[in-house]
Amino acid sequence: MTGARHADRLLRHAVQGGEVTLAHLLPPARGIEHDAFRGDGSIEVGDMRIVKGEVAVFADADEREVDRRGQQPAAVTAHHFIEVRGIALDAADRARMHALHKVVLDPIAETGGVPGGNPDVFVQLEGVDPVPIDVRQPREHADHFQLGIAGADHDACLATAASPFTLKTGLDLRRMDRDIRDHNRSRYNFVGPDGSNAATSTDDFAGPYNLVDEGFYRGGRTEYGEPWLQYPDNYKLYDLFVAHPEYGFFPSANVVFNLTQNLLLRASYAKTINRPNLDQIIPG
Amino acid sequence: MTVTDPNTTNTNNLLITVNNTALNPWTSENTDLALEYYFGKTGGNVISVGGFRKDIKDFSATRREDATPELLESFGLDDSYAAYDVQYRFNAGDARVAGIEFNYRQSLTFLPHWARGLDVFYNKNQQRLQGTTLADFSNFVRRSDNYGFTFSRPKFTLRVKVNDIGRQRRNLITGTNMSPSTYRWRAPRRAVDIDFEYRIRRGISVFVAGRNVIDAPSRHEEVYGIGTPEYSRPNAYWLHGINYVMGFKGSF
Repeated sequence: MTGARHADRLLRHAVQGGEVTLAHLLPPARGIEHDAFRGDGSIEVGDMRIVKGEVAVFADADEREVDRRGQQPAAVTAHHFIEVRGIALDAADRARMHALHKVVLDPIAETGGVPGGNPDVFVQLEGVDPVPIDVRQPREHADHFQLGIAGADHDACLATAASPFTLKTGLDLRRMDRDIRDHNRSRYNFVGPDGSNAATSTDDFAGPYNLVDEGFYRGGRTEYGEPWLQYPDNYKLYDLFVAHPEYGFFPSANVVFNLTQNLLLRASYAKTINRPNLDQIIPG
Repeated sequence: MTVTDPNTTNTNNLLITVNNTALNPWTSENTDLALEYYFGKTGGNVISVGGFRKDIKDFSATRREDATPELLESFGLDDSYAAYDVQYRFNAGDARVAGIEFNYRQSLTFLPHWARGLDVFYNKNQQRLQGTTLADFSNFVRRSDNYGFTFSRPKFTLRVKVNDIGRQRRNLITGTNMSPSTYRWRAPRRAVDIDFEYRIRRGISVFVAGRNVIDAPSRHEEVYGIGTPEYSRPNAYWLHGINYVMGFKGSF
């Protein structure tokens, strides 16, 4: 636990602009078994990455195999660690650290075949500029629904039909926020040792992965490089009305005419909306 | 964005799949009108007929097309992907679905005493699609019929239900050696479900539920277009067999 707290403090310290030197770091854990590694997060500063993670140490290979199958091994100890990758810390790097504070996750830990990932085999996509993260901004992870419904029933007799009928109508106001902007995220493509891109690499693990920020990570599935979304304002009510007035009003009415005791005539009208699924509009 | 392996031997499937973040929701205006007549001593018998219409705007569909230099540039890819296709969803346009529904349910109380407790039902749905890009309604079912009966006695209940689904057109198929207007079709399908429950005593019963008891293919697909001979139409069968569930029910 001490190691974990230290790692969290260190990450927070670096993100808030503090200087991180080798003296802050825990002794790096080496010889990590791939199956046992779980990356918690990392800081990327220029070409350097500081990886925080957890490593399980097994008594023998059989227990490691038990863990790989998703079962609880008989004996395992967990160690938190921080590891520096990329380049050595020197004065120039420390200066860049002050200029570029960017938190990224480390999905490569599980997917790249290298514990903690290997920045040497990742290249940033051209033309995609990473956006510096303001870690103080609130992060929200889900759709918001604010729903208000007003309804009214009315039983009346039509003078012409001389039969009772029921009129149901109402107003349905709802606010549904969804943000799909591709911000706070740097996109990387995995490349093979030969430097080729994901599409031409012969490496078994070749494929596009996204490195995403800490806010995306919470609750997300970083092992697949999936981003975890934020939702500021893409479909907020006011913007929605301005951009698409037709999306803001969904009237409905349902009328039942009792023509005789045994014969009913039903008529209804409703306007509905169907939004795309998230997996159809996630940038990437 | 997903890019298929360029080293694949299947060069007909070099594909770049892109998510369209500008995809708009689609809206629909739905209008229904139905006439229902209730009859019989208890008023539990009903016959009804209705019509509906859905005017759909901006429905979304999938498009697959050759990669152009402009498209590739917009995705940050170079000309080495020129042989690829690009697939993405887009707002395809407007469409209208209109149809009629018929529903009938009656207890056959006029039968002899030994046949008491017999109810029959039948409902039918027939609809028509009109729009700019008909192929994009890949799950559109033109005709659907349900019919059957329920036989109820104090000691047992037997329910038999038949579901007929008409031919269903799915996605457009293009490529080498494909005739124009070649689509994937789902062949008509009939499924029969049977439920039987026997009440041993008050609060305790045993039941059997059979699904697809005539062992029809759960899915039978054909691919054909103009001039496709009959023998080359079958494409795929899914055979999932018959499913039975048996058990006890108790309420104490």
